[in-house]
Amino acid sequence: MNKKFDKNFWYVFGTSVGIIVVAVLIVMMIVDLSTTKGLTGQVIKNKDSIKLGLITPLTGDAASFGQAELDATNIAIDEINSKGGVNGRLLQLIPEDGRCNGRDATSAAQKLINIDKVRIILGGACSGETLAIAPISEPSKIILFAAFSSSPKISDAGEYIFRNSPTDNDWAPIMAETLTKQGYKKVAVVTENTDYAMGVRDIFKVKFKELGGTIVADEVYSQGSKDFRTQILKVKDGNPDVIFVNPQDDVSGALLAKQLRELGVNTPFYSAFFLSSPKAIELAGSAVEGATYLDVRDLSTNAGKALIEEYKREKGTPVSEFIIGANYDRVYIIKGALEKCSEDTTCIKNYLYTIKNYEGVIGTYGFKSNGDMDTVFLSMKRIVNGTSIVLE
Amino acid sequence: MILAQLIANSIIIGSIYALVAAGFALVYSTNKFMHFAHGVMVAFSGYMLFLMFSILGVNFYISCFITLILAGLLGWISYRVVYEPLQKRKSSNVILLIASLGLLILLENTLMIFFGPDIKTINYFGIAKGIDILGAIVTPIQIAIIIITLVLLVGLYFFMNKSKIGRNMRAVADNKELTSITGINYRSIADLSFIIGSVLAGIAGILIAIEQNLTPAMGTGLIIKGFTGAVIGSIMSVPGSIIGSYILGFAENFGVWFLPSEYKDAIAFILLFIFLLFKPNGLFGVDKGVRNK
Amino acid sequence: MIEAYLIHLLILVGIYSVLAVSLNLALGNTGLMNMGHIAFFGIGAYTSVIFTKDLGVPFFAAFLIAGLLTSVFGFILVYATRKLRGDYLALATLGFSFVIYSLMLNWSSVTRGPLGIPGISKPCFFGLCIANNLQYLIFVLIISAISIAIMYIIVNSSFGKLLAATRDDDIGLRALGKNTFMLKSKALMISAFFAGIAGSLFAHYITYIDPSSFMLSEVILIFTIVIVGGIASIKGSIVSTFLIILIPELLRFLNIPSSVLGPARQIIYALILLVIVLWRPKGLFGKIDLE
Repeated sequence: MNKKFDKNFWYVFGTSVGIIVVAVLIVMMIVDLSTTKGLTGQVIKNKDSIKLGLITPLTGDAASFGQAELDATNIAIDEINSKGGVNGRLLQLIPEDGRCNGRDATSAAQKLINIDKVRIILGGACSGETLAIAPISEPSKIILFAAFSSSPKISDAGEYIFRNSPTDNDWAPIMAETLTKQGYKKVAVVTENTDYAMGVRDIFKVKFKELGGTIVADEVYSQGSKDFRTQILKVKDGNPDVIFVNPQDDVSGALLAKQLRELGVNTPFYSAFFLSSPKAIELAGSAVEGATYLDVRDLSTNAGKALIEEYKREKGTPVSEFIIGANYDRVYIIKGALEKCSEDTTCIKNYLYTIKNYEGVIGTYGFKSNGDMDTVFLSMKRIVNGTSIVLE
Repeated sequence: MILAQLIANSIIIGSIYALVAAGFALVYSTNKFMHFAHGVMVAFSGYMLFLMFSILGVNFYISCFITLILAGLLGWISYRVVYEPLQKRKSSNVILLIASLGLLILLENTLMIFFGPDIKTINYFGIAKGIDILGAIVTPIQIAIIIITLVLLVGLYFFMNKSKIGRNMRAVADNKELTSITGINYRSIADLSFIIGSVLAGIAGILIAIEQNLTPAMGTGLIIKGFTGAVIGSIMSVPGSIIGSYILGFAENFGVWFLPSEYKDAIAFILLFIFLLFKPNGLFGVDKGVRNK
Repeated sequence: MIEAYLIHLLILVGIYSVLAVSLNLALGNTGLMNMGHIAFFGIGAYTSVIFTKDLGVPFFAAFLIAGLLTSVFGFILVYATRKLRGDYLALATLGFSFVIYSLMLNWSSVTRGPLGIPGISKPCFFGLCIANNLQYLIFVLIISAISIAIMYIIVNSSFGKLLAATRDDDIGLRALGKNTFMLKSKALMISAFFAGIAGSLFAHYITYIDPSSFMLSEVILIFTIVIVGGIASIKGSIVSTFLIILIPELLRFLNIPSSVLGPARQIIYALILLVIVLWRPKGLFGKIDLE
């Protein structure tokens, strides 16, 4: 057996080494090709272009968000490039699929940082992606700029990490305060079992109880489920004054709203963000009539209007106007930084921290010392006759 | 009032599971392997309806009809291309199971390339106000789903028991070797089981598309619930699997009434696991050496 | 800098090769159709993280605890499914991985549910911590070389021959008075142990875990690795891990629209799997046909 073992062992060892060598050669060859002939990502028009990485889920359950991120980012980059780029250099976006999980996001980040040599990564989208990329990007002083991740854990993930989306800590308490101010005492919460929505739920519950309210029903449904009737029945049984509908995305929120009304629950309901999606209103129709929700500044005014119209023309109805706006802003914020600092990320980092009143599509904001947005503009909106109106 | 609604909820979701489970069990009982890609037949049909009705603007009922034909065709092709060569080589049913998983992923991602990852809806009937039946509120579409499922249940029962083809299929299900001696052509029976099973998936796809919405990955979720229902009833019997699906619907909805609602899927998975361990032939199956194959 | 990317990929290959070889020990060498292997991987990952992060146990202890606890789950699974064969066994073990997945998702007080656990520390030994990926690669290579060598010795020992015999002729072996259940439980416990330590390596490398890393699609990924490599072939599993982990990475370098890229990667996995099953059931290096 020993002899056979020996023979086989060296065979295994030899094959493995051989494969490593071949794999290295292939990868190097492709890298070589990509830098000289432009195989990577989009066609390189200008050899001296500035590369931006984007990590977002392009497949899997969250792919529709990722596609929206990619589309909105591309719109902004195309605009900038058609006007001559940044300091005469074109922007080149290299999108990578993070699949909304840590493993794929880290692979994507390693590739962007080490092969494409990007200094700026836009992303991740899911908090799980961002949290997994942070330990890789931070030591290399790579700027990591998320426009969609909301986990409070990201706030202290690193110095080079920024985001222009509200964290769960920012708005979940506001929701609790709003409901209390309206005089609601008994709330039913219906939450999707995902990182973002569950994070919101935990913060909301604590705050609402602190303000003297009671949670009469606290229901959760799993991602991708399309039947909420028994959860709704439990909501009904709790006899709440108000329902807080807390989904991950527009479609499950709309389906939930639809089934709530179908089952004859006429309790007013409050929500956040998802109702700004035209798709939600289209899908839920009369079911969301009268629903009130927290949202970012109305994008259909000012600069946002042209953007949303362009998006609709080129890419179709956006999954969320907020994502489009935040992604669009993100590229322009980075553009400002690049104009000032070129690709010196320490300079970019310091510059980003000095931004205080950036006039973006989603509002006027800057960054706090932990890289989060310093102002969160949330406005209350209500669906009246199938369109949303701003309440305050 | 609450009880009535709980029962209604269970029946509605049970019907959806049953539509998926029936086709799955039909294929299993005739061919003796797990056709997981059955789930993607449901998704495929939904998307075909979307393509025909919402994109090409074909009349709704004609779209449905074409969808069913396409579903049957896809089922038949997948049998001939993937499963039949494996059966000829006398591969074990584990290999066929793995092949079906490969097929599932293949077709699911093909749908994603063609239709994109975002959710599609077919708003043919709009949003209907629920109707109050004995204290439970049910929408017309849901009533239609329940009725269609029950009609199919009865229809399949008579087809399997009374018609000649159905009896041949049951004979094959019982003993493949013996039936080949009596001159029943196994190949055409297998073809037929895939076509009928996939048309059932097509009906499920159409109804789910109207009641809920479409995502490329929906097939996986549906087949997991569908085969759980089938295992509870009996994977060997179409009526058994339909009843099993209703039991699953009841277990989920009544279970969630008492437990935190996070556990809805866990209830299904635990039931699946327990049934496979202690009663792998389901409530309505006969013990016939399935365990020690 | 290309080295850094390759180091990252090689770390993944190292971790997944332990996972694949350990699955092959159950699937190929013993004939246990275990679709719950990904659950073992997840149990190992969560155990190791919870022990180091919440209970303050040193890494190496947590690493071994992860393996041992997973091994206990291996015994539970093999005991529970002792009467099942063939596709029923496959389904029950698949059901097991669903149950474990729901547990990770819903037992929030311990696992933080869908929020996942961020900020997992890199391994430390007696105050010396792994500082960069090159060191982690060396660490992973040492662990995977030891693990694979142990599994290699096991399958080539007389015990391994008995395992192969249970796969080929269970009843015959029982007629000879061997306790095949004991053989199978030992095999699955060993297999689970190595899946558990692979999980621990994975968690401390990625530094963030959530239940989505242990879902159905991952079951299919490791199954594909083993089947492509070949049943009962350690060499095959290692080679195949390289292929299956690296091929989709190569796709990143092609000029494909990103909306197609993701699904294309999955389609490639599925096609490889179907091609192997249909036309080369031995896999690349398999000794026996898939049957």
